Amino acid sequence: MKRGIWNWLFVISSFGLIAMTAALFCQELLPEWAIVQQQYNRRLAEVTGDRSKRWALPKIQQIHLPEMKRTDRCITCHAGISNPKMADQPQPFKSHPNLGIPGFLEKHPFNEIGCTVCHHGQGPALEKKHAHGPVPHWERPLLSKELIVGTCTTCHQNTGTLKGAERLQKAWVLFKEKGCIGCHNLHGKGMLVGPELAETYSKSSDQFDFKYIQGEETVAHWIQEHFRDPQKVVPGYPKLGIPETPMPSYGLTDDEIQMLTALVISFASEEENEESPIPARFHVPGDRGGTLLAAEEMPRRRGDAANALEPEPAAASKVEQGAAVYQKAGCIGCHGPQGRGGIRNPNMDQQEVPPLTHVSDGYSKEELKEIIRDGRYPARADKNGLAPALWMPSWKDKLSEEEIDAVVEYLYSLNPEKPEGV
Amino acid sequence: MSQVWRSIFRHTYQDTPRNRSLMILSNVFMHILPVKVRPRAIRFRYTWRLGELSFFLFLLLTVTGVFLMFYYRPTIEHAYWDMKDLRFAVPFGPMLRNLHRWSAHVMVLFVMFHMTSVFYRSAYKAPREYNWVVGVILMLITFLLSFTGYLLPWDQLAIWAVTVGTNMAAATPFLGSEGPFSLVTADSDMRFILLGSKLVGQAGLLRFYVLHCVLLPLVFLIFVSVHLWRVRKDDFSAIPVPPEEERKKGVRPEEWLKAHPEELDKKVFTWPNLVSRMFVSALVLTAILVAWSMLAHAPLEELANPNKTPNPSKAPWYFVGLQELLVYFDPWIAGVVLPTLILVGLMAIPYIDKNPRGVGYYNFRDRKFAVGMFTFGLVFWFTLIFIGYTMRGPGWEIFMPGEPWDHFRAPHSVALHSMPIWGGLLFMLGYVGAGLALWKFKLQGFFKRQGLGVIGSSMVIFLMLSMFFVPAKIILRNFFAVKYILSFPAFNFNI
Repeated sequence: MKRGIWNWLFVISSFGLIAMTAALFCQELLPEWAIVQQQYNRRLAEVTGDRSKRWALPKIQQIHLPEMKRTDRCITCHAGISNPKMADQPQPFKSHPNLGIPGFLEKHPFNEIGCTVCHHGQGPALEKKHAHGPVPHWERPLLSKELIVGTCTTCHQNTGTLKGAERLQKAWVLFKEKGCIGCHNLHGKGMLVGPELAETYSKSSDQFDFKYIQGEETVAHWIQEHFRDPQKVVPGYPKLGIPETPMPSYGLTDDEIQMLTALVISFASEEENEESPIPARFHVPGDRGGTLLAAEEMPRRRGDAANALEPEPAAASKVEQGAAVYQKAGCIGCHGPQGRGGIRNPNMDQQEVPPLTHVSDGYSKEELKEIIRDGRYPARADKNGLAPALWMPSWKDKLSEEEIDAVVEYLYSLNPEKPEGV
Repeated sequence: MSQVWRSIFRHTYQDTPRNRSLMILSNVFMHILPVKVRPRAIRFRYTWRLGELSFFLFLLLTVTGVFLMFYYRPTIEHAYWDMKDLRFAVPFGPMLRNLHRWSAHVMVLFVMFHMTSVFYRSAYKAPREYNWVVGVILMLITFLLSFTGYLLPWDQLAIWAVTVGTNMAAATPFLGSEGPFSLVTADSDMRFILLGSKLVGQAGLLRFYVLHCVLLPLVFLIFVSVHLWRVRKDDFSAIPVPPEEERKKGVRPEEWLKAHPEELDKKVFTWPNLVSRMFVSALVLTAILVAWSMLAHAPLEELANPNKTPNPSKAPWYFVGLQELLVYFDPWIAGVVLPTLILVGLMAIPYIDKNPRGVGYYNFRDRKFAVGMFTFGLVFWFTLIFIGYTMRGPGWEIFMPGEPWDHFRAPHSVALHSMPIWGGLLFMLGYVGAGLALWKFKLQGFFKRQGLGVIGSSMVIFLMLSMFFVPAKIILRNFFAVKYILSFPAFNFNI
């Protein structure tokens, strides 16, 4: 009887091993990528009329870039990217479009720069799921069409006038309009009320809390959802005394959210990356004197970021200059356009950041300058509640005396009852 | 029979008793087995096939390991990307790596279970005491083999698990820069010897690679040769047991054998009775491992990044029990003193357990003390591993298995205090005194009956006190908020 069990175990495990070995051989002989490549070869034979192409043996194709510590095997499936005859084919066989920019393809030779430098994704992978992602433990999944513009800054040091980077330029206008820099640091420039933006996309996904987010657990998705509804994504822990995020909900459209996410990605792309460095010869210096934006206003690589903000353009009057300073310093982010306020700040008086339209009624110019220079922590409306998360930072290192003067003049001019501002 | 056949196998293939003997005797590899064994030795429920399967796993790991070496470069530039190549581009690469990884885990587990089964059937008692010691050394080498292999993929899992492990070496008393009574600096201590650096880096990767692929397997091979040869020479431990109805009446095999000495001579041929079972066991295990390797990939996390510490960072699972003890003890105790005591204590077992009962069969009734102590230690060891592995989350906080890790949950913190020095001394004296009292008033007769002298008895008491000190400290810490019983910060000496 005992012998019987051993006999059965022998038979079952032998057949099991044989079957599994056979399955392994099938997998090895016809992997996912080989099937795709055969389909490509068939299409290529049709398009070119050269029937011999159809019988080419599938093999792994790769762009090996030891200098950048990358091996991109994307072209094993995307075999037609450099073949103009494949322009009308569906993905993954399609040739790479020139994005409507003459000379784009010539300036971006794939065999020298690879694929993942722009597109992200897992270069060495040969299975679609792992190559495109998102998969656990690969922090940079393939970027969607809407976000890919965020990687131009990897090489292009000034995207302010770059053709094809229009979405980034629009996002930058939005960035200034909303006054992000009034709270956030960017390459060490800006304020410390919010986190440094240049590092956001370099963080790994486990540094973000996905508890309140549905869908994929990628950093890009977190950023998008956070733009959409910051308090939903970061509701804080009132029990622990950690308030919800003070990041205002700006009611952005889907398109604006995508553009701003691309911008945040572009900030990280500018940073040096030791894991996959970009050789200096690929860096494209900025095209200074652009038309859409003043070149100086685009963020630059860490290292040459001055502490002070850039000087604003020459203005006709003090009030006009003040308005420009108000804009560039990002005061608008919390105090609203024309100082009209309206940004939530829980447990502050009125539950929001004070509007500035009537400061001339309550403060002398000297008092205002004092507050701007040294900053101020708002008092709690409810003494037992949490401290308001937004505060007025100190501007004395960021703005000159002259600029502070101008801002105060501008604030005085906002009073609807006394528009002269004196 | 052709000349070729005869020149190779030396005998015919007919199933005759002579040929069954020759199968063993005329084959250098088979010769490690005896020609005949007692029927109980081939029973699955005697050895559970754990020893032989551990050795089979060693062979399997050697084969897969050699193939992996063709594709792997031990440099921090290439190691991780060679893993990616194995995963995606090397023919049969995933199978190779998965099989190696999963076999390694199973081997560590089987070696521990093998030791457990040897203990419960008293197979370590005279004349096999020394082979038990060799076995403990082999277990240590198995741990070290697995631990050194853990670093090689050079991902986040690897460097942080090894960082946890090697930081313990820095806490060695006298020879570790962060341990008590430190005599050395961080660039000449135990950790530096392991890593060739203060941090896990290129030097450490190379050292671990050479240890993993050359030195440790060689040492393992030497000891395992001794181990297997001794099993053969000391005769296999299994003895005949009385029939079922007599056992139920409480007849012990030792007495029964005196009445039935002829039973001891009843033996069966190793070929094919034992060999076929060994072969099928190995086959079944291989099939299971191959299936497992087809279903689950060996873990590979992000590229190692010394600047990004995962929270929590865990040691490999077999060391997580010791890591769990870091909550209760300073690293020099949890990482150095306790493992040393465990190994020394295990090696001492055959020399302090002189109870002649139970050799060659599972007998718990006549050796309650030994079985009780060993079982307590064993269950404690695996409980700590279970808690550390499945129930510890960010900040090493307790999370129930399956409960999602909430990185922002309020830390469970209690204000801890250390006992005053006089209190600590009093406690330690009282603890040792309680042990001596137990010896004097409770265990003296028991020790005498077993033929244990003063040295043996004090060894038993010392190991018992050491073992129960760990749960005692856990209770003191969790229920009385005691951080240290004795604390001399000037010497970094805290208990």
